Parts: sequence; C-alpha cells; structure tokens
Amino acid sequence: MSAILIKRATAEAILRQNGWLSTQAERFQDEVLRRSILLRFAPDEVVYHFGDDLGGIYGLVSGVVAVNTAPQSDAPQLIHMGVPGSWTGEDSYLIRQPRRLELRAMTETWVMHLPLDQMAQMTAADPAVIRNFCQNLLRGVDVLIRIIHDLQKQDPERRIASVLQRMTWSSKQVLLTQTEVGTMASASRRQVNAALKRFAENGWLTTSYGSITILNAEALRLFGDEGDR
Amino acid sequence: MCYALHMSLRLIKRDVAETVLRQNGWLSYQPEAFQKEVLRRSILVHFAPNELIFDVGDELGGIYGLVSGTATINTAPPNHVPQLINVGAPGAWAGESCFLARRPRSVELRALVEAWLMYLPLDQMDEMADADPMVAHNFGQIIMTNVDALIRVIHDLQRVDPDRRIASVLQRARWIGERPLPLTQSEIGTMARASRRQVNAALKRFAENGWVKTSYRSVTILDPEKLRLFSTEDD
Repeated sequence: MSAILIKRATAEAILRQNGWLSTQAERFQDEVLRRSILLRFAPDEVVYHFGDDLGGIYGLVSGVVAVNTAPQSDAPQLIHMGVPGSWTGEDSYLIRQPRRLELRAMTETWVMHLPLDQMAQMTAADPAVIRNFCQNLLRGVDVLIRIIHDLQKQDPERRIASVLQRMTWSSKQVLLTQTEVGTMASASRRQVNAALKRFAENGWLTTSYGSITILNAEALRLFGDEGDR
Repeated sequence: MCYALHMSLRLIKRDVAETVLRQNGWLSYQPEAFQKEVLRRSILVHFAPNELIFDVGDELGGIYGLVSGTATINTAPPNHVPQLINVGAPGAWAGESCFLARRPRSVELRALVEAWLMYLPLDQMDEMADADPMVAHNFGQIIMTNVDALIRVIHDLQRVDPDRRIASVLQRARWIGERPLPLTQSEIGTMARASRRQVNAALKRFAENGWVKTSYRSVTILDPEKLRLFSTEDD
C-alpha cells in the first residue's frame, strides 16, 4: 500500500483550476498557496474532528473526503463527500469556535492546508481577504441548500437518485456502502437496495459487491428532480 | 364598516426593537461599538403577513434582522422552486451574501405573520467597511449562524421516522412560546418531509401526550423538551 505521491505543482494547479480558489484573483491565489502546506491522509484518517480546537482551512487536491456533521449536541452523520477544489474549515477563522464538521479521508487523500495563523497574517496585511474567505463559506451554504432540497423529496427513490448524482461530483465510483447512501438519503437499507436494483436495470449504474459505479448521472439527476414542485 | 380599523398595525417602539436585537442572535455577540453603528444606520420596517421581504435572484441589498413576528426561509438549488425550510426567530439576520460576495439573493425571505424587521442597507454596510474593513469579519459571522441553522435542518431531515422529524420541526419553533404556531399542517409537512396525514396523526399523538395543544387549524407547543427528547431517541 505504498503512498501515491503528488507533486506540489500538480496540487497547486488542481486548486487554481477548481472550486473556490479558481474564482479568486491571482494575487490572492498566490498568497494562499505560498502559505499552505500539502498534507497526505491515509484511508479512514480524520482530517479534523467535530469539536476540535481552532484551525485553518483545507482544500481537497485529490482523493475523497467524507463530511459528517450534526447540531452540536448530537452525533455527526454523513451528509456529503468533498470534491477536488472544495475548501472547508472557515468556522475557526470567523467565529473562533470549535469545528462544526468532521472531515474524514475515505481513500488516500491529499489536501492543502492553510493554517489559521497564516489566515490571520493575511487578514492583518489586507482585511479585504475576509470577503475572499467568506465567499468560500457561501459556496458551502449552496451545498447545504442542495442537501436540504434532496432530503425534502417525498419519494425515497428520488432522494437516493439525487444523492448518487451528487456523489458523481467527486467520482463516478461511489465509495459509499448502502447504509451510508441510506444515511445521506434518509432511507432504509432495503429501500437503497431496491432503488439500486431498479437504477441498474435502467442502465444508470452498475453494482458489484460493495461498490456502485455511476454510468448515467444525468438520468439520475432527471429522475431525482421529477415531481419537483 | 372599516376593515382597516380591525387590521390596524401593531406598532413597535424603536428602542424596544433595538433591545430585541441587542439581546438575541448574531448582533448580541458583536462588540458594543459595532452594535451601535449597525442600529444607528438601520431602518425599522414593517411587513404584512405573507409579504415578500426579498426573492431569489433579487438585486443586491442589505441585511435584515428579525425583531418581531416571524419570517419563512424558502430555498432550493438554482432553477428549482424554493421550498419552506425554516422559520426565523427574533434576532436572526439574513441577506449577507450581497455585501460579502456581491451576489444576488439566493434564498426567499417572506413574512409569515405581521413582522417588524431592522434593515441595514447595503450602502450603509459599504460605508461601514470603508471606515473599517474589519467589519467584514463581523458581517461574515452571520453566515456561520445560518450554517448552524442549515445543519440542524439537515440533521432533522435525515431522521427516518416521520414522527421524529415532525417533533424536531415543532421543537425548532419553541421560541414562539405558548402561542399558536403560525404554520399550517402542510407547511409543517414540507419542513419535515411528511404528508399531511402523517402530520395530522403525529399532532394527535403529541397532543395526547400533552406535548402540544391542537385546535382547529392551529398547534401550540406546550413541552418543547419532551419533543426534543422524543425526536433524538434514536440518535
């Protein structure tokens, strides 16, 4: 299980071309990357825990990261999988409170980490960067709204289709167990099993023991959206 | 017969409105000087029941803080019809993305009942930022309060049992106190992903337990703690 190495230049190129950082001014991109550290996480390793101390932000370069969360009094549940180019962890920077999410590497994962003290130095030098960081959090809000919308669908098959389509943002190979798909879609394992069978019959995906491969994300999206008021 | 007399406005004093916002939600966590500056530059505005405060795609504008009454938050991804996801409590603020990212409104905010809101216009926010760019940090914290609310909505919707989802949604509105909840059964159903039949049956059960009181077209929460315990039993 030797680690796959990733070159720093490749990592920077991925983050300059995808997600939040790609939408920011070049000078800001340079500054973020100059101050960031490239980190590797093994499968199942935690990037940060729910309730962890203050820290900086993390940008996904390669691999897959599970996002677990809940209100502060409850146990975190899987709600999403991170996509290369997505950054998270601004809670410490903005409100100086413990982590709201748990991030866990599902496969071997490389992330770029901008430490909190570096964010503070950037802010002291130019307070305009606060808005740059807030813009990333607003992208996170958009994802939360999509998750809520998927969970409001009455028909469990449409929720499951929407969750599977959302998973293709990170990879065609869905790295979730049926139970995990069920958690994200608020469906029972039996419902997930039946839905997967039907979607496979339609040619939208294939399943083999323990893994799901999406063949037609657009068909899943259309089916998931049917009946939207 | 003059209906206007019967529908007269419930007036609210400016200093009472300011106190509500100084003591609840985002503004209450901000430094005194910032609170003062926000309130000095804000306008107290009235909305009639069901009146739109802002719509998805609306042009840039400022932020609104709920003083009294309540407002519904309706959202969806782009190109989908917004659906009711939450009702705001006094002290909740919304609309910060225009200032922080110069992007149009992405949620719909609508008065559910007669409501008073404090409005800080965008040009006033910009003036504050010109004088002290660090205020962006204070305004950015509004996003975190809204993220917390969205995480709670997701967690409630992930519950498999409809009764528990319905109990969570009711418990979320506990700040209304022992007054009738201004929500229809089908609105509760939208928020809880439940059919009207399921909402009706759950309310009957909760009423039998003494957790809520129901009368024609209205629900009053009597024991939010019991609702919370019931909704989190399987967690």
